[in-house]
Amino acid sequence: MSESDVVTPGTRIGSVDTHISGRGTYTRDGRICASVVGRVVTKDVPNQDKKIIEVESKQETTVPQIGSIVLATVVKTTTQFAKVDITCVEGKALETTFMGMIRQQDVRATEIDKVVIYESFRPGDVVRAVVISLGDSKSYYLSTARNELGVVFGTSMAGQTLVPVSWKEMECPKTHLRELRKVAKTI
Amino acid sequence: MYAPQIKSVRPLQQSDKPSKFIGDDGKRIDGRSLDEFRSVFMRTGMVKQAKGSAYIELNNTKVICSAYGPRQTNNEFSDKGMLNCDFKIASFASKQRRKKTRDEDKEFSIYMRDALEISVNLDKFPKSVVDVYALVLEDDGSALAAAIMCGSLALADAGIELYDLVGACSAIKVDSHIVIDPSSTEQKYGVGAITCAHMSNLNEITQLTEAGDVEYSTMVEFVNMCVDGCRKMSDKMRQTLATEHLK
Repeated sequence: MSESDVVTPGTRIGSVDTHISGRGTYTRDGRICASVVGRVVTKDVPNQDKKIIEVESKQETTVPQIGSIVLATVVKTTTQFAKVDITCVEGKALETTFMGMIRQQDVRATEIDKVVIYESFRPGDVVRAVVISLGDSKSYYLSTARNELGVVFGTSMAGQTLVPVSWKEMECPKTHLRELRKVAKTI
Repeated sequence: MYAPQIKSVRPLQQSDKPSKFIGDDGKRIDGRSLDEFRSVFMRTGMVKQAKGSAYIELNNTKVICSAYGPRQTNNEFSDKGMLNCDFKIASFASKQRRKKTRDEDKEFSIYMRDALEISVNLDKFPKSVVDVYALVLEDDGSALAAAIMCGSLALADAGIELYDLVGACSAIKVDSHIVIDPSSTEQKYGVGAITCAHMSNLNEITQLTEAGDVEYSTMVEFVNMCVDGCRKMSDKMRQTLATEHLK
């Protein structure tokens, strides 16, 4: 690989007539240009003539976006919502955390009016959630209203790692005390 | 008899103004032609703590720049991201020691943000902010132009999505000739000056500042010379980024 294979922001790499703009590119006036420093990669799309054109860079900017699956640590719970710190987006760790909020109506899909936040999350739990909205000026709005979403890691009163027993209960391996959580179905 | 005791005197300050800025052979004091840059050196990725960083030398003008983010803001909600620039000249940068804060720094921070903001794809990081910090280690003229280029390189190094790289160039009028990339002596005694930031692939001027006495008739010549200079610098920036990418 030589220097001529590396494209820089603004370099024209294709046209919308022949390619589909992918990651690390942008389109302007029908031209596809690179927006990051890196190598050009084309990928086939099934049932389509056009190929996706992408630029592979060393560094990526990751911010939570609508629909992305995130990992977040619960910071604080109230009767209305749980405040969380988003630490991971789509499996990529963030440098700085973003604030998120899981509101009462977004905890589970059924019986949403009977949700008790404190019986779903506790401060310190690690939660897997989906971003449903960019939210207000401070926090992203997250939801755990799916089977595979909810608490993935938590510690019991005795300080042990909780073991899930059902979709709403976790057990302490030391005291065998059951604690209530909105448990994520990981398997 | 009373004799006044003199403990110290101020040294005699000689003016460093040369008699001629452009010699008979059409060369400048440092031997450059009118549209010639000083020796340029660029590097990226030396500040390990930052997401992206860059260093530029225009002979004796030395600027270091680092980019951080995107990070969360406490500002009002906005669909677009924001760019925050901070331009600083070190107190030891010029021959005369500088005072701690000067309005010039704030002014130049705004110029720098204006120059770079347009080149950044702000839709990619809604309600977040990217910080760019530029520090002028030594100021021998054209510090703002160097800082703008350095900022653009740092953003590219940080993997922030950009529409294009921003090249920047200063021009100044000395002895009724327009010269680009002025040194500090030329900058001190020049008449009118402009600094221009330009995206070469999109062919758009992102920022243009003018200081001093620039006549309308010469403005076009000023801008054309600067844009040519910006193009040369953009090519150099691309080359630098490509070389650094392969390391």
